[in-house]
Amino acid sequence: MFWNRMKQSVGEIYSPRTPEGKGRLITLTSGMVAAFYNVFITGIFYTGFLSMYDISITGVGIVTFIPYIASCFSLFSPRILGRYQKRKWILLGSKIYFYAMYILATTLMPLFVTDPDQRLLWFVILLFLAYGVYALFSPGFTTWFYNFYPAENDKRTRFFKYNQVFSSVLSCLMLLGSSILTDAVEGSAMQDQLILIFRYLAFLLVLLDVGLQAMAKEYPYAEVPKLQFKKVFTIPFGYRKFMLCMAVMFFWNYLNNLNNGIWNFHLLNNLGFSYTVINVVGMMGTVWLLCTVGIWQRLIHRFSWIKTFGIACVAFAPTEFLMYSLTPGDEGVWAAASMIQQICSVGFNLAYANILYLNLPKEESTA
Amino acid sequence: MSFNTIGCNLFAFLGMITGTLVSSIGGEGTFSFLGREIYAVQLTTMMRCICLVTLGLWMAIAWRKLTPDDDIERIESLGRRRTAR
Repeated sequence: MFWNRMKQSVGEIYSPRTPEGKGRLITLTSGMVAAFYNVFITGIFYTGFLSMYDISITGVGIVTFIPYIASCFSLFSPRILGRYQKRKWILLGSKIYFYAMYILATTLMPLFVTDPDQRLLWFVILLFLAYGVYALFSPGFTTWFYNFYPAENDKRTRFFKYNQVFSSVLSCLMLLGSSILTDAVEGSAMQDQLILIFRYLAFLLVLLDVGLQAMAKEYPYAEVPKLQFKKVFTIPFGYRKFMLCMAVMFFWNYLNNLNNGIWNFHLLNNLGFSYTVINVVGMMGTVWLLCTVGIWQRLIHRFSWIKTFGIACVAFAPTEFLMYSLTPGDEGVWAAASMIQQICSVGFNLAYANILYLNLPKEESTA
Repeated sequence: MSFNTIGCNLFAFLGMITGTLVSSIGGEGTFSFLGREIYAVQLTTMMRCICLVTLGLWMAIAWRKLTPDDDIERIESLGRRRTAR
């Protein structure tokens, strides 16, 4: 009964018989492939890769800042993308360029540069070139694939839910499998080799992802008058509800990054929590996602995207107070608080995924 | 889209800088705060706690200001039907 309903619901959204359904199916599979390769090139594997080449914790911090600085180039994106009505191949080309720089160039560079300081400098240069150029084109993917998003509220919620669930489960399984594999060869030269093999594998998966996206139909984009740079910052102010949604997203990004990175450092070094405890609790996120996504979906249907986001915020807040009170040996309290956070995060992520599109003026979507 | 990408990245960057600045208070060790010995990084969780309550309450109360009109109408009619039942 449950499986039949699930099959029907999935089939209704991802049916390859219509161009929209096919587009959504491509969005889902592309998201799953991306979740797969991101395990190998971000998070603990990325930190492991950088430390293989003697990059210090400060160096890792500097490298973390690069995407945020380089993203300012997306200011020029509407001017460049606005020139092309057929931009699919340009977007896909830019994606291959980005990952070639991000994966291949950074993996090959240490073979030629041996000094750790020089390596850090080259990492910064290569990543800046990768993110800087990709920032010009990457907003185009959202505009392209936005055409496939279901218009109906309920269907759209299910679409976001399935995308999140499938990607999350796959990424969790991959993280678990690859962590076990890497831990099994810990301390040997094989561990470094394995991290490098994972990176090359990730690049092959990027090519598969690009191949999948290439199959999606490209609809004509809304004709927009040539956009001046200053208009990127003035047009949105003409749409009050859109601006309020933007304010929420901006503030959320600010809060989300307040202790990004340094909190794990605190858990490991100041509170003495083990990697195993942190990773096992982290993986529970997928279990909570599967168990509670239906409840959050019903809340969204009943209370709206915004109110549900607010409810999740209020429910999340006390756990931050618990985090503030942690002392060494409080793994149990931390695990309980983290799991409440994971439950709330399901609501956050589901609602956040649509906040951008809630009041997005279609005719000005590239600005 | 560009406005959103720039804004989100800029604010994420500001968040990281604020977090790094706050966690550098008092160096690497602990210091006394409200009668407790804490690490500076713990202050960021307190900041998040206060901000999340404020943001959450505001969104729960003022959700109509951010929701498209047709969605408001749908949710309100759903509420009316539930009350009538």
